[in-house]
Amino acid sequence: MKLAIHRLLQLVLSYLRVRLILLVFFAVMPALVLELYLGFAQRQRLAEQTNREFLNMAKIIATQQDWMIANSRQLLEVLVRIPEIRSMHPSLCNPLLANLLKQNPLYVTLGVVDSNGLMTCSALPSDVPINDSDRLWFKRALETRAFVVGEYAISRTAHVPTLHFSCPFFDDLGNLRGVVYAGVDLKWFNQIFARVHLPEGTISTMVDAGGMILARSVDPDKWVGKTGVESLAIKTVIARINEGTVLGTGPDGITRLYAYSPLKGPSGSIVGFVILGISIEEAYADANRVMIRSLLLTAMVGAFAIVAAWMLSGSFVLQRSRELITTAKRLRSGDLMARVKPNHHFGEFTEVAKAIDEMAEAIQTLIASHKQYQHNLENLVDERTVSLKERNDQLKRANEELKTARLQLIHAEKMETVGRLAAGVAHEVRNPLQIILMSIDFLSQSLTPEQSKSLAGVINGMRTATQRADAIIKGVLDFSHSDDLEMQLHDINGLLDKALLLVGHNLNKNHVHLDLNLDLEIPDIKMDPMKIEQVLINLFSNAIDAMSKGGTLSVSTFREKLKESHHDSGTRKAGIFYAGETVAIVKIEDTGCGIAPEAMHKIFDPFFTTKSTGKGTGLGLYIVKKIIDLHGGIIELGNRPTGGTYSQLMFRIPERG
Amino acid sequence: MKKKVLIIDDEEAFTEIAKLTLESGDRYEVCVENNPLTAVQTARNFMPDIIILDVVMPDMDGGEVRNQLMATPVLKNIPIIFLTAIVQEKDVAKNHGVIGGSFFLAKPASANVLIDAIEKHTRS
Repeated sequence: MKLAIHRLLQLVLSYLRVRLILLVFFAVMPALVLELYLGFAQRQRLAEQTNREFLNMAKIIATQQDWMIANSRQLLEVLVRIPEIRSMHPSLCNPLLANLLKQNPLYVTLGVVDSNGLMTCSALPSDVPINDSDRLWFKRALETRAFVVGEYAISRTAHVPTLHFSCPFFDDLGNLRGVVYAGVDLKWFNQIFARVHLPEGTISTMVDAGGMILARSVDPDKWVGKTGVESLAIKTVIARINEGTVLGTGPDGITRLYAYSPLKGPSGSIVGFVILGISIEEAYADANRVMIRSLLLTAMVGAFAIVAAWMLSGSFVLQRSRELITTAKRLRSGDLMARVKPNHHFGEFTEVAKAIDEMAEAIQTLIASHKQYQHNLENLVDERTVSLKERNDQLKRANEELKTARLQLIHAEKMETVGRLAAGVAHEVRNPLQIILMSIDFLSQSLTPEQSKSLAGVINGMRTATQRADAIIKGVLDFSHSDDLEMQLHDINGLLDKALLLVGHNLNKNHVHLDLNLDLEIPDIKMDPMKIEQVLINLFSNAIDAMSKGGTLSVSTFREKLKESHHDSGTRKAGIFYAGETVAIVKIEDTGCGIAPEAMHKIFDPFFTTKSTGKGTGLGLYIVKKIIDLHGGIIELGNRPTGGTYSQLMFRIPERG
Repeated sequence: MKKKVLIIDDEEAFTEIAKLTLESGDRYEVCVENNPLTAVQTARNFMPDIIILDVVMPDMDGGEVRNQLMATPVLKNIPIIFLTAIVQEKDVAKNHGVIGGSFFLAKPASANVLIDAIEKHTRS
């Protein structure tokens, strides 16, 4: 709970407006407190003034009473000197008293009683004898032998509630002759109450010294004659013997302000009290009004201050802070063009606004430079990527070249080994061949003519076999030394003529027709002429061998601009020709038996031959392919659609200059 | 007068058939030597008109034998034909029989080829 309240306070106090209002509140607080204090002080003063005024009213009423008592005393003291009264003879005193009663409406009865209390004279004659010896005024008069204020009682002559005053009179010897009495109608007190302008709602009460209510301005019939001592207020008043004010509860249970003033008798003794009671709301209405007005004023001032703080903070503070917040939010959302643009030149808000604008400017510049940096970086990355790609391509090419070089090295080492092996084999085989060949020659010379004739076939067969073995050895040696090229620019057409001349005998022998179609403008090609001649002779020989029953050998050379790239994969040194490149082509076609499809993929394999035993070593096309590879050319070999085979050699034409 | 031919070759079968072949025509007197280490001495003793010399031989190759022969004053003018399997016929043909200043014949050479060569180099 505490934590929740703390958080709530934090939340509330985090708002600038709340803080401003709190500031204003605390600023006006001393003034409000002072105003409240002054209000309360004024109320207190007014209350005290009210108390004083109320007490004065009570005192005024008491003064009236005193006057009435003094007047009654004067009247009675005069009466006791009048002989008609002292005679106590009804015929003499009754008219006098009746006349006096008429002249003094204050009184409702006037009379004289003898020393026994028997009424002898009366302004209001009575048909029945009246004895007032039981009356307090009689008893006190006897006791005090002076003017006394009696008690409240129903007049036995006037038959109304009456306050009696009495004064004894004596004979010359000092013996009591009688007591003159006067009864004041209690309604007179009400007249006094009415005569004094009492505040509205004031209840005026007169009690005697015993606490009996003699008069009451409100509901006198209900209260007069009753002993009001049960009222706490009256009890308090009676307990005190002085004038004053007190807050107390009246007999009706209502808390009132009571102002009381004592009524004093002839000897200064207290014979009663005048008590004014007014409800505290009415008594202090002015004071309360003043205080309420003060409170209201304070509240209004406070409220005005808060409302003013609330409203003015909107335009003075919050509007500018909202501008800052709005700009900050726009910046946060990515609107880097947002600016506060303060209208003023001075003040904290302007400083903050300038700081935000400068910060936004700095961020914008930073982001712009960051973007530029990023752009530059991307460009750099692109450049580096291109560069890396080029380097990668170079590395790939280098790797390929390295791989090729490695393969070539391996191949060279292999070939060297093969070469050495071939040389060793050749040496070791040719020595026996030498023996055999020479032996054949010797044997053939040693035979008789008859033997020679009959064994000619055998001798020839032996010689042919020996030559064949030697041819194989030659092929192996050629193979092992085929990497050794002596490159030079050479006319391919001339080389073809030479090769054809060398196989001319076989052409004629097999009745093969030669169809020659040469491009005489074809430039010289970089080649090892002997190796290419070997290639051409091999291809011509194969073509002629395939046309044992005659046919046509077509030989052509031409240039061709390639429409697509050509490369001969699977070879050790692949020739690659690109689209758009012009190449020199040698095409050799025969009308022979062609190549069986199942043999097509093996024609370049070493020791593969379709020729009958003794007619081929199986190394011819293998060496041809190898030589063309070494020249960076491409050889294609296949069947013609119309029968026979074709072989096509493709060479790169050297760039001029 | 028969021409004296010294054949130095470690292959006894060859020297034997070569001797038979050359001597069958009664034109040549043939001496064979199968041990290259004693070849110079044999040559010195035989004093041939021409020497047929193998190249690849155990203990001493034909080149060294040639050097020793050439170093021997009485032998140094005797023509020498290397008959060897280390060269090919086409190489010999391409260089007209001369390789490195020496005359060469490629094995296997027929009797006629050998005789032609002997005749060619003894003519002078």
